[in-house]
Amino acid sequence: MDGTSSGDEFAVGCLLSIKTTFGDEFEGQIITYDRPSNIIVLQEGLKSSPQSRRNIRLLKANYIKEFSFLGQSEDPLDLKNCYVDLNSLQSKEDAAVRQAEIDVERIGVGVTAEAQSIFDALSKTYDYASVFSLMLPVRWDKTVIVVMNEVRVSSPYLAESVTGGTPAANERVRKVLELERRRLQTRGGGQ
Amino acid sequence: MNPQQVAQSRSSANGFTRRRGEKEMGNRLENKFQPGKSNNRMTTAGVQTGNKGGIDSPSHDRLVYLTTCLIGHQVEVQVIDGSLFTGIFHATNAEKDFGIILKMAHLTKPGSSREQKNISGSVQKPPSKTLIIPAKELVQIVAKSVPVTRDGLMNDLQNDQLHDIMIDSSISQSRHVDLERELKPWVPDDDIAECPELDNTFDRHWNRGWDQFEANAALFGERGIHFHDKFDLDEETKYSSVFRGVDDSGYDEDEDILDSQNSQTFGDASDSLPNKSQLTSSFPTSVEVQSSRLSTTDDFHPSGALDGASITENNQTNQQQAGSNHTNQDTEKHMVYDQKHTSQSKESSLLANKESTDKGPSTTVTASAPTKVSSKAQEKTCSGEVSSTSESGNAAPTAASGSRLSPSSSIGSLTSEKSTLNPNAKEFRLNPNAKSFVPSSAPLRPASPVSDASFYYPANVAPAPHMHGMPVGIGMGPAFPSHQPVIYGPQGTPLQPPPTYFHPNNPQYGQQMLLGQPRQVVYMPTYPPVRKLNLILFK
Repeated sequence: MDGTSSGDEFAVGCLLSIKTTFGDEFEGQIITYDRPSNIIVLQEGLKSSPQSRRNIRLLKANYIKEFSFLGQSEDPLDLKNCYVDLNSLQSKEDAAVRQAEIDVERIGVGVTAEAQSIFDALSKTYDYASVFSLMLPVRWDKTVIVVMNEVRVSSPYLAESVTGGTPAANERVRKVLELERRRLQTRGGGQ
Repeated sequence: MNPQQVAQSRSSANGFTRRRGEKEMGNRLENKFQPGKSNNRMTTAGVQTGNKGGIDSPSHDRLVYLTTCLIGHQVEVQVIDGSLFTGIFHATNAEKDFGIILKMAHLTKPGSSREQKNISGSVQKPPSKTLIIPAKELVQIVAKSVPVTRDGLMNDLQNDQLHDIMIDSSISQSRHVDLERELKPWVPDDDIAECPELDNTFDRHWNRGWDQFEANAALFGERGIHFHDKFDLDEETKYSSVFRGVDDSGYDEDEDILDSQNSQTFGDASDSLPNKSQLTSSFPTSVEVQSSRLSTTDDFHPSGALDGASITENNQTNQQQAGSNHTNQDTEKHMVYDQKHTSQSKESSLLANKESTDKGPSTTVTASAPTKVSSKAQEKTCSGEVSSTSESGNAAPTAASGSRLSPSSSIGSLTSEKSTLNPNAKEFRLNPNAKSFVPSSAPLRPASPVSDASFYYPANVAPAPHMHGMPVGIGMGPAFPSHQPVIYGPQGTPLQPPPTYFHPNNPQYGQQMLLGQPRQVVYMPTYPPVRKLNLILFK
């Protein structure tokens, strides 16, 4: 597709079915096409009824492998209702970033999904502890799961891998670990 | 915008890249989106006339608008090698070629050019704080559930604000992992004084079947109240408006004592009791009812003032309860009354006694009313002054009930009551010069001790009896400063000085708390010190 063409094909409201050079296929309605940047903005779904929330896709037009014209609909953007509050957007972003930072601590890096599942299970178990502790009850230390800053579970995250802590805490972590493993096995089969 | 700015803003991570183009667009957008209304953003490059092209074209406007809507939203970006990055949309340089910046982005799906290092598709690298994707590498951006219109945006904002609150608290609690912990409201321990007003007014079941006098008779072979040998009379005699003679007999003597006290208290009985006749006539039933009714704390009007109206009301309610179901006690009381009360004066004294019990500490009930309830009343009254009254052989319930006297009742009784009941008693006067706790304003207690100090101030200041005002507010950390007047009022200290002393400290700390990390600090101290304080005061 030549981005510098007259662009009539990319009239607003067109219903298209597009396949990208990466193999993605989707359908949507054109909201706009910006020639200088060669970006086409689509609203996923074919219904033209206005919704407050939509799945938006910005696609560089030069990655469209093929498309087909499905029809023409009205402008999906109601120009009378287009308001944007920058402050709220900023706070939305801040909130999202904060949440992401929190999530970071909970996601192990370079660990298997299985290890992450075990981590999540332990997190739920020790949730209450954070009431009286300023520390995350369960956190990652590289690839070691640290519970209550005492009990450590290292790879391969088996019952034998549980070290540290008081005997009671150690035992408890072990139990949770085994339960979670069993659960993963029954659920995952061979993942 | 000149290219310099664009380049600068593009590499900057503070998000103002977009702002510049944003603001102008934003201003327009905030008012009304008017396509085609473009003006001074013409750049030399890329200017095209016509409707469909150009930076200022409506198409471009729309693009800018939609990318604006994406700010703060979780997006998935595909780049030229097929890799997928997921992150929070932060900025784009709308003026140029739409390179984008993501925050907290991580690789979701490695493209063909990246090696597959991970074993089972988990995240390999920690999310990068800022990820810049040049326009040349950008393929597509996918965002789900983007609020595009105004209502959608407002909903989003509200949701985020709610979510924000959680996040703040979770942050202040140091990354509390799971936010589904259910907060339970603080409930005081059982042995803590409660406001008598809150007690169930007609809680007849409270002492059903329990007759203290029977119990005493069984235990000691005597009826009535007998003071323990070690009963400390000093404070009692000093501060109590209740006259307590040393008594070891039945309540005959007490009756007499009561009588004299009552006449003093009430002066001319007929004066202060306008409807005394009514009361007298209904005396038997009232007393029966009292036996059950006075078991509740609600009868004791916190005002403590001799108030005919209140008495009337009280007795009216008593009469309403004439049908109460403490028949055993009734008959027994009747018998007792028949034996003991032969004179009208005694009747009236008892009546007055009953009324006086309603008034709180002004009563002179020592052992008079044969109802154990009156003894409870006595307990209540004397506990108004001394917290540790558990003597006179009463069972625990009375002590507990006694301790439930509200602070305001003791206020009223002590300050408003010009009691001449106990001529030997030292008259209680509001003593502005009383040794009151004066927290030194100099050391603003540093962070950690403050939490303790703020809750222990009252422990230093007020003697135990008035601390039953404390638990009322102790559960609320930030509200603590506001409760100080309540606490120090009963003590008799004037309310002016406390604000000057306390407020600098506590509210300062409170301010620190509120301005700094509200939840972190507030939440923590609330629980442990409360327990400690209660243990200290109400053991």
